[in-house]
Amino acid sequence: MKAFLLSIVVLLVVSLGAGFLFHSQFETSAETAFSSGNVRIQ
Amino acid sequence: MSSLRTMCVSLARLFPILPVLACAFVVSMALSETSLAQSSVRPPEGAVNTNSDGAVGGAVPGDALGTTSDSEIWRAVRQGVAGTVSIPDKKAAVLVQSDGESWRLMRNGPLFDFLGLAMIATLILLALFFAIRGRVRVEHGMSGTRIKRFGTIERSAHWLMALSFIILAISGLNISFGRELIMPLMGKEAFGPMAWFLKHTHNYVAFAFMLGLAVAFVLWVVHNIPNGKDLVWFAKGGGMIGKGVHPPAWKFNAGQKVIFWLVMIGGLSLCLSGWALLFPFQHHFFSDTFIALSSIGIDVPAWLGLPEPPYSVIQEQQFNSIWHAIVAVLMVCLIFAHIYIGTIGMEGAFDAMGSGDVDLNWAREHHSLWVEQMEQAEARPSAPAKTQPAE
Repeated sequence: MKAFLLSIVVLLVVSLGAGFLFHSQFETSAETAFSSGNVRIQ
Repeated sequence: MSSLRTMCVSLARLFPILPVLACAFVVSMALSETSLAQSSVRPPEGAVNTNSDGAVGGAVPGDALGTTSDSEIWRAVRQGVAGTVSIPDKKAAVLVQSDGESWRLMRNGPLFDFLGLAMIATLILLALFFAIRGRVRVEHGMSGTRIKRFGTIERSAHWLMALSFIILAISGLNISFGRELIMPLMGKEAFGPMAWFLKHTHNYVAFAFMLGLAVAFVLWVVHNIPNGKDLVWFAKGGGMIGKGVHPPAWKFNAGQKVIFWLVMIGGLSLCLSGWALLFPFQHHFFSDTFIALSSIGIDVPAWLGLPEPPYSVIQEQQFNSIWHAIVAVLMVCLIFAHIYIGTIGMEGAFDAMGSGDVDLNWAREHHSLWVEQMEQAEARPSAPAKTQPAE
């Protein structure tokens, strides 16, 4: 039981930590993804 | 002669208006150039085509003068010609990627059909096996003496891997089958937020699975190196077929070793393909792998009817998506069998990962060489006692 609970704690810590670290990378805003400062229309 | 004379007379009559005709020609040419420049959609001089993966090498069909018909231009677009874009997403230079349609049709069609059937077939086979063989009992009965099989760290690594895999499997299956199977049952309004939550859960729990996989590998790889006893174990069917057959085994028997290596190799493959899906358009795993294999004479694209590498980043994502689904479902089938034998399939097996202590008779029947090793270690004066009476 101790090992099982420990694994749950580790799972939550690692998952939430990954979410904290990578959320901004996984959720790229449309402003970043589809435009730039030097767009040129001819 | 008369015709020559007639032509000369005609030219002589035109001679006075030749300057007027010349001026008209020059003016019309100038107007024509101005008109062409104003309506041109040519890219600026020196523009660079950033995507060379197009069907015709990124060149505009007929060049900028449009000497080809519209049908030829649109045919080239349909075949994946790459243009030029100034936005950061350079993949937008390809308007139509035909491989994407092939990928979608395969993914939503035969691939998911076969993967779904594979999981159902596995459950049916396990149920049939249970009906025929029944539960594998401890033949000599429980001894009442228990022996430590797995410590806290080992069991934690196992449960970390197991729990994260179950969460990943449920959330991944929802991505693959939820739209067809779950959404009609619960409605779009409820399915949408649930799918959003499961998708994000899938993304982040993946890191816990990677950690569990790495720790389990470090802890158990020494015990899972194949040896000669494994052949004996296989020859006797692992003691699963008949009764009273107990092939010798160390801490992990041959069947467990097979599961260990399949989980490690399959898990690593899932991690790599999943990593490429998490951080898209940055990796070329399939191009690199196929090129490396072709250098030793293994032409995988030819076997599978795929185009020759290197692949575009979009094709890499499509391959990653398909490979991730195939390996994941194969591992789900494998884990079905693992869960079966660890719970209802074999008496006393769950204790190994439950409390960590197993009955001595169970251990002698399934891991006799390991028990001998532990008893010898226990007999040594310096070694701590490993067995303990049941409470």
